[in-house]
Amino acid sequence: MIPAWLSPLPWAALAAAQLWLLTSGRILSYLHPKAVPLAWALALFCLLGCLVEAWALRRRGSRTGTRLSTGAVAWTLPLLALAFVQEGGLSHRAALARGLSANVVQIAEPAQDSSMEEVPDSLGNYPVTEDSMPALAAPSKTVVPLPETMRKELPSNVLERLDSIPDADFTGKVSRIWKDPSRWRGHTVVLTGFVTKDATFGAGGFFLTRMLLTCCAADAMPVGFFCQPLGNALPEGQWIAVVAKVGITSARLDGWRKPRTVPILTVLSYAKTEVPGNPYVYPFAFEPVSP
Amino acid sequence: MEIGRTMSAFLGDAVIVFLSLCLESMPFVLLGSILSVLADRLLTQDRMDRFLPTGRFAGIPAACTLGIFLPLCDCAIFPVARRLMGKGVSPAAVASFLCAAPILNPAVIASTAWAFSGTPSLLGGRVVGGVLVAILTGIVMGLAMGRPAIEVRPVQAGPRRLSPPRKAGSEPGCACGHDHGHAWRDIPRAVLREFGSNATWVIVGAAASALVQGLLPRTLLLTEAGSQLPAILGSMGFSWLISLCSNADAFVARSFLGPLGSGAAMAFMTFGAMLDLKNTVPLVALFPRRFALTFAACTFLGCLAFALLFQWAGAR
Repeated sequence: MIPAWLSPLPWAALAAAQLWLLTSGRILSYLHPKAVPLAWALALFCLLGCLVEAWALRRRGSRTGTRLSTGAVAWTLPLLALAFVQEGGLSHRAALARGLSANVVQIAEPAQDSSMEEVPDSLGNYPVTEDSMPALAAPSKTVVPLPETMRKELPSNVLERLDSIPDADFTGKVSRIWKDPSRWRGHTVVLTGFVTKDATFGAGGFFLTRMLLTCCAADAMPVGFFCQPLGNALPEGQWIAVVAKVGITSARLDGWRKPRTVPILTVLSYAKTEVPGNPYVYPFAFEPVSP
Repeated sequence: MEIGRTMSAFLGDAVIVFLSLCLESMPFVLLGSILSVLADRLLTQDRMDRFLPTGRFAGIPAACTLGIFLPLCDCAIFPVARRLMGKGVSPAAVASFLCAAPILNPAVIASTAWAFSGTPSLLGGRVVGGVLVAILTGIVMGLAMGRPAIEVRPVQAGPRRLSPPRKAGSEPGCACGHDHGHAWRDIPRAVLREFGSNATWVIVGAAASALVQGLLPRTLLLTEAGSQLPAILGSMGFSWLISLCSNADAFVARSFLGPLGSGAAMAFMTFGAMLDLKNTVPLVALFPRRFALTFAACTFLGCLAFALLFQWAGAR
């Protein structure tokens, strides 16, 4: 048994750990933003638990405090785990272990959403006009800054608008392009993600990946696009921003009963980037990929 | 060197999954603990008999519908179920409650409807399947265990009164058995004790789930199956291992619909909501062993049978 006079300690430690996660923003490595208020409630409860136990000890003396069983040693596990936290959320190994291609899903965005039109139809060697780029919605908090090396390659009128493309738009691009790859053939997109590779992708191929988080990191699934031809030059797990052109190919992925048309991106330009503050993307709703 | 990097990445991912499971489930364990303590204070024997009839099977329908009124996911259910059992509710009713509540609660129904918008059969199937398996489990539990006075193991982290019993009325919460009017004042510490006991086992379960997830690739369970039975069994094993919240599992199940079929998606949503690795640990630790084993066997077989039936009906 753990001595009664130590009873406020586990509550204080848990409260401190949670408050650190919450105030530092690291909580988003584990939870969907919608669950953050619940984490605040739990942290406050632990703080309250510490105060209640301390009050009980002060009022009644340590002999009548709450003794904790040795099972409470399990509470040290989350605290110990915090020492091994890695930056950038789940790694590319987790993406592969969770079935990179088996879990590719289409995500149906709200009908009135037109975020895909935010991406210019053409770029670089292709003429860009103002007409092809409708006004953007207000930027979200998770805007990914475009690397300097890529900024130099973009026309100024495009650049102004790209600066406002929210990182959350990754989900919208995955949704629309996977849903109807032929429609988006020839369009140019700007994306940020990390590199994962699989033996079935062929030489030079890689998967530009983001982890799609529905509730917490335990349910995160890899989504993204097959890309070529830079796979050999990029190490697995490297975060990159790419300007790429949408093409189509036929592939039979894990769990699919027959080949089907899938999008494949040809990378026109890329730059290595830091891990975003929030490495995850979030869904609207799901639509299955028909076998 | 490479082994070191691999181990580091494995450990990092396992830690993230472990902490996310803890952070996600603990608020609901807290909610369940609060409800458990309130049930202990509010539910007198008269009220219990009125809401949950005392016959061997009579409490099953009421237990199934209780979930509709309690917005609790699977993490929050077992503290309440344990309290109900401790207050004398029949094992059949408690088993039905454990099965039905994580599926029938409003939040889970709403998230399933959202995930499967345009496919109402999956939402209807999940609700119907949850109720059927709950009734089946309740009936089998009633046959197997009857209505004995089951002694639920006491809260491990509970208070140990070290001082000798005092004179009646002289000390809040004294052990003399009289009501001194301090029952409500003691609620905060009672919630702390209840939460402490339940959280301990959820943490152990979450750690086990995170480690197994890191060691066992999902593709091992979810590769294309030649027939439906392996696909359904694989998705059930997968749902047990990854221990997702029943509020979110429909979104993951949605991705199975194409490659693995509707039966596998249904098995994932019904079985995973009723039993997963994270909750198996507290189930075995806090409930009678025979109850836990019967419950696990019934939910497994019931969900498997329903998923096969659902797949068969969908193929026709």
